[in-house]
Amino acid sequence: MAEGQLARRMELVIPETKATWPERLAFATAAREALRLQHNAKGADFRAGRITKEAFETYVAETFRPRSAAISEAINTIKFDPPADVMADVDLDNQIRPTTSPTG
Amino acid sequence: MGTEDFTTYTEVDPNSHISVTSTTIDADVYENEEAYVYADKGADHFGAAFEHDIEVTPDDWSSYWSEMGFGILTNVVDGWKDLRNLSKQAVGIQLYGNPSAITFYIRDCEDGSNDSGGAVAEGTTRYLTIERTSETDIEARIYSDSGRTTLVDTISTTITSGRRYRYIMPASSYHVGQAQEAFATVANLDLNEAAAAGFARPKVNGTLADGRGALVA
Repeated sequence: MAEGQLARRMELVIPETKATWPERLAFATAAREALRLQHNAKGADFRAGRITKEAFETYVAETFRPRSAAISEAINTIKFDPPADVMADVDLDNQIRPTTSPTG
Repeated sequence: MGTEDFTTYTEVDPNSHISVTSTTIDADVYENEEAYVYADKGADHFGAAFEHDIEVTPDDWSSYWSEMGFGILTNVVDGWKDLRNLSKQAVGIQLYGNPSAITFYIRDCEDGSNDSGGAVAEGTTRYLTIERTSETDIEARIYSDSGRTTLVDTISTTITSGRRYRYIMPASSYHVGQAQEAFATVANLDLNEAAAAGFARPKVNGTLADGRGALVA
C-alpha cells in the first residue's frame, strides 16, 4: 500500500479576535457551514456540466476533505473542552426541564 | 470500488425482522428486541484511518421517539443499546427522533462523546461517508444524493486514540424493552478497501509512522 498525502494536513486558523470559547466555537462552526456551501457550489457546477467529474473529485479529495478534517478537529477540540467559568454556570438539576415530546 | 455482500454477514434476528440481500439490509426492528447484522473482519482491521460509504433510509419510525444504530465499528458483538449505554469499544451512527425529524448522531460509545445533525424525514435516503480523519477525530458527512455532490451536514466527534476495531455492524436495533418501531434500510456499504479501477478519488486507508492516516491511490 503506497503512502501518499496526509489525510489530515491542514489546520483551522482561528483569528486572534475570536478569543473566547463561544467565539472560537462559533467561528469553527461557521467555517463548517462555509465549507458546506463551497462544496455544494462545486457540486452544482459539476451537475450543470460547468466542471468535469475529474475536477469535482479533485476538489473533494485535495481541498474539501482535508479542510473538513481540519474543521472537525477544531470543533472537537473546542467543544469537548469548555472553560471552567462556563462549566460553573451549569446547573443540571434546574436548567434542564421536560418538553412536550415523549422520550423513546 | 465494491460494496459489501451482506449475505456473507452474520444475522442475529430472533424475530425474523431483518431481510438481507447482497446490497441491502431491510431492518424492520423494534426497541424490544436484540437484532443486528455484523461481520468479523479480523482483529485491528479498522485502523488509524478509514473511509466508509453507506446509505440509509428511515422507512417507518415510531411517533414516540425511537432509535437504531448503523455504520458501527466495534470490538464486541452486541446490540447498539449495550454498546452505547455500557461504554463499550465501539463507534457508530444512530438515527433517533420522531417521523418528521429523525436526527443523525455520531457517537464514540467508549467515552460517550457525540455530535448530531442532518435531520431527515421518513422515506428519505441519505448517503453518508464516515471517515476517521485522525487518531482522535471521526466525522460523518451526510449527503442528499448518491453522487455526494450536495452536502446536508457534517457531524463529528472524538474517537479513542489508538483504538482499532474488529467487527463492522451495518445495522442494529436499540433494545430498551419498548415495542416501538425503528424501521430502516441500509444499503451499499463500501469500505473503500478494494482496488479502484478507473476511479480517481484517493482513499484513506494507510497509516503513516506517526499514526496519522495516509491517502492511498
